[in-house]
Amino acid sequence: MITLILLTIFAIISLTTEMLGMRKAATWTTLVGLLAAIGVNVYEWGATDAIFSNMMITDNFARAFSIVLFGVAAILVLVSPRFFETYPTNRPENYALMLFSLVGGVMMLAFGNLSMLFLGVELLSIPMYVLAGSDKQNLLSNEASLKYFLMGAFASAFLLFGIALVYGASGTFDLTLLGTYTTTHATALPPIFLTGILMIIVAMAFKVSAVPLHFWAPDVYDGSPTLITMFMATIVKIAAFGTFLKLFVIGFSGAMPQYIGVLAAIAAITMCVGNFSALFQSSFKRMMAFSGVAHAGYLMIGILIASASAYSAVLYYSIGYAAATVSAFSVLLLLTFRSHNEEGEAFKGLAKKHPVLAAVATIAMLSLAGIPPTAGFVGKYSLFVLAIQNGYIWLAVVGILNSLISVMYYLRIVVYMYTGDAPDDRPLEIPLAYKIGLFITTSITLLFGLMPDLLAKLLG
Amino acid sequence: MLTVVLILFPFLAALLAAAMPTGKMARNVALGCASAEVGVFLPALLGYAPNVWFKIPWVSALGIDFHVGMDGVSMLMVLLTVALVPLIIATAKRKDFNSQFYALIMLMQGALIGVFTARDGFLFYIFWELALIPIWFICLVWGEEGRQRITMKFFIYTLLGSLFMLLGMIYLYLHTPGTHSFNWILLTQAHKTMSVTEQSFVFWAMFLAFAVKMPVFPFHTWQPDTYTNAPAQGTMLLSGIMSKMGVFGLMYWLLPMVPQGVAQWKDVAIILSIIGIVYGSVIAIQQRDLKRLAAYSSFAHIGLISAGVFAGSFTSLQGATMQMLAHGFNIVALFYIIDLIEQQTGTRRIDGLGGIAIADKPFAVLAFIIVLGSVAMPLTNAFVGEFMLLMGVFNYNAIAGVFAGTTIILGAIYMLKMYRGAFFGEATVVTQKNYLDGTAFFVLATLAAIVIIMGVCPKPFMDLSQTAIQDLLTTTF
Repeated sequence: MITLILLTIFAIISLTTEMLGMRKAATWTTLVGLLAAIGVNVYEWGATDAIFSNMMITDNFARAFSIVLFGVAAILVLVSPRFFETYPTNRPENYALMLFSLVGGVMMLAFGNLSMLFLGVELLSIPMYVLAGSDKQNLLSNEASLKYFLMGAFASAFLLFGIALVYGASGTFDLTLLGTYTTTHATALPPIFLTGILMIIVAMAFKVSAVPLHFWAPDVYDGSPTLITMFMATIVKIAAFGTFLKLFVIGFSGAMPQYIGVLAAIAAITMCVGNFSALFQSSFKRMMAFSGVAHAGYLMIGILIASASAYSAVLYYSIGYAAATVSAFSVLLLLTFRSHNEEGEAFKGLAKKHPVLAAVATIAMLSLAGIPPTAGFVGKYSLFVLAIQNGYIWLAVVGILNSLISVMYYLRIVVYMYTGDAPDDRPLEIPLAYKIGLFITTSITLLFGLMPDLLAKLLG
Repeated sequence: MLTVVLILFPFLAALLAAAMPTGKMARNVALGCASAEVGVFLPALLGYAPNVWFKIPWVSALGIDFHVGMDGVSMLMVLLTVALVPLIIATAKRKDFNSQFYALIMLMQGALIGVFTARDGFLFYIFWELALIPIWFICLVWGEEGRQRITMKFFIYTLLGSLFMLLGMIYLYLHTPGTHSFNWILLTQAHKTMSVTEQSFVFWAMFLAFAVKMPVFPFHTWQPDTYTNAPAQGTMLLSGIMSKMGVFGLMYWLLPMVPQGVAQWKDVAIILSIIGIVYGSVIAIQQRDLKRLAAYSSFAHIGLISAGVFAGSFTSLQGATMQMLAHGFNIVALFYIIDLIEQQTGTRRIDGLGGIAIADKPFAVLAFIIVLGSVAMPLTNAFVGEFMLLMGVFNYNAIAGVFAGTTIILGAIYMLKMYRGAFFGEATVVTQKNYLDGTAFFVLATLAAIVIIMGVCPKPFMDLSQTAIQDLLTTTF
């Protein structure tokens, strides 16, 4: 609860800085707000806080995911000032919208009631529709915004209708009561209830950009300003996955047998479509968009296993994915300040120009490809163990073959960096904020890779 | 504890080398560290190190330990690594590599020693993958024309194998008793609760990784290209040490893990290995490019080692160990000779060469000793291992033994043909004098001395590996 109030207040503060003509201060107030939000969650760790007759239950699960969201957001804000110099957007508005979106994320993760879930999803999405179009003069950005909005509204309708059907059958919005309902009626769930779940799956699959509801992702990711793309690729996706998981672990656990096949199929197809499409992209942002789709496929393994151990695996994977994605996009940002070339070829010759930056980008790529000793490997490993443990060996095999395909396009970037010639030989300027941001993300990638039980210890 | 030092020291050396401003300084640092590593290793080899085993929990919740140590076979593999790396660094003297190159070699050394000493499945996998990344970079950055495509193929192939190995490893892990563990001993007991079909799947999942790494027919197609395209030092690392990772994996991480799976499929594996011997040798005879020829010869030799491991008798396993050691030294020497020739003459095609024996006698003599070693002449190091391997395979199945035996004849054909083409005959336009400078002479003379010493008195090496192999056999059967 305090987190929500805190984020909202800081969002409003960010808006007031504009009125006071102190735009640059907005960066720092937002950063302070995010760090304070992290602090609150760390301080209240272990306490379960249920408010409004269990509408929102902030437990350790919600706190852990929220901390990840805030951490990623803090790094994004940290690297944003240099970015806003190149884009004609209004800085404080951007920060405020991001914070409002985070409020939605927190509500989603802590939801105890399906109506709260809907509110959270909407609150997360609506600022994103605006932010996607925040590069106002750019047609692609406008297109991204419109596309995201139309498709997102469609998905919201599905979600709402699904919730209504579930309510119609079970008579409750409450997540825990739904859990009891599904387990007691596990053998005889009415068709209307099952239809409702299916619609909710459709809506959530849209939010996490799982196939076949992923079509918006590449266009929106490509068209949006890079900073917003980072936000969507990490924060929105992680929040949606946490929520998706919670929904199935607590709410629909009894209905799992009916849907596990559907979810497994979505997982397998998402991995394949994501990876094969990414293989043929020349634009780095589009490639990362499809890679995001592929990662959604791996994460779906966690959803379909839907057990307590899936929590930590999904969280681990999310951390690894977020750290590597933020690293990769930050390097892209650094490269595009001057050239505005967002192709994969922009990375050419980076190793000669700036060996450390190339090494950082390489670590990010290796982590995304799931190669040890990086966090990406440990995340993938824990998901595959889950799959094998629960008898889904075929899914693990599909996952492995997909990792192999993904290596091709991730390493292509590394090959560009180490063998190509730089398009120009002007030295790269790397602002201090980027150094700090990249240091943090790279350290997380390596530390979580070398100490697979770090998360368990931190949560412990 | 000593083993931990052996693993970690190269990683530190890599950092140190990377921090050096010039390649020359980095080379000296790397060379110094690699030589110091030999100094650290010697007490263990000679039996003065009180305890070479080390185990602390790494991820206790998942039953993963940092568990390393050396039995006899590991000791010999570490010996190979520790002895070859400084020589390989020394061979780079005339090249203009930057400091990252030497850092990568040191990184590679750490990872390789880790692979040979790990006694925890997860740790083994981590080191296994860790060894891939530096060599991939070495091939990618300093390789010849077309390296992007070739190194990508190499990476994908190797990763395909290792990911399936990971799958097999996880499967074994989930069949260990209690809360599951990656401990080597417990993994070797996992098969007791597995059916033969399950074991067969695990066998293929893990064999794939080792077969790609060694390589065994038909998983070898990445090998000739990568060996030919890589810089000489990269080829030496790949052929001399990395291919042994595969054989070592077979011995320690496949045979004891799924005995019934092995029993079910070892005939197929032996047939594949023997096809590799004949096929590799025949192609090697056709080659005009010296580096490609040596690459195919390596492929053929490894085939014999792999067949011997699957034959699974004490003799053949000991032969495999000896031959791994011998092949490691010989192939590195061979690739160095080819590199020296290429440096001096600018070509490595047999047709363009000739008359080196007249131009530079010491070089020709040293090269001849190495060639004799490669064709397994009696009193050279490869003879001991090859003889025991052939005997092992022959005892297992006489027909297999006969086909495997062709390696002797075919090996002599391509090796001597190569020697005749490059060293004898008329001097050509490109033939130069003075192939050896001080460093080159020292490196080649050391390797030639090893060829002879190990050939004349193989007993210390065999004694060292004896107990380990006996233990391995009792675990397996």
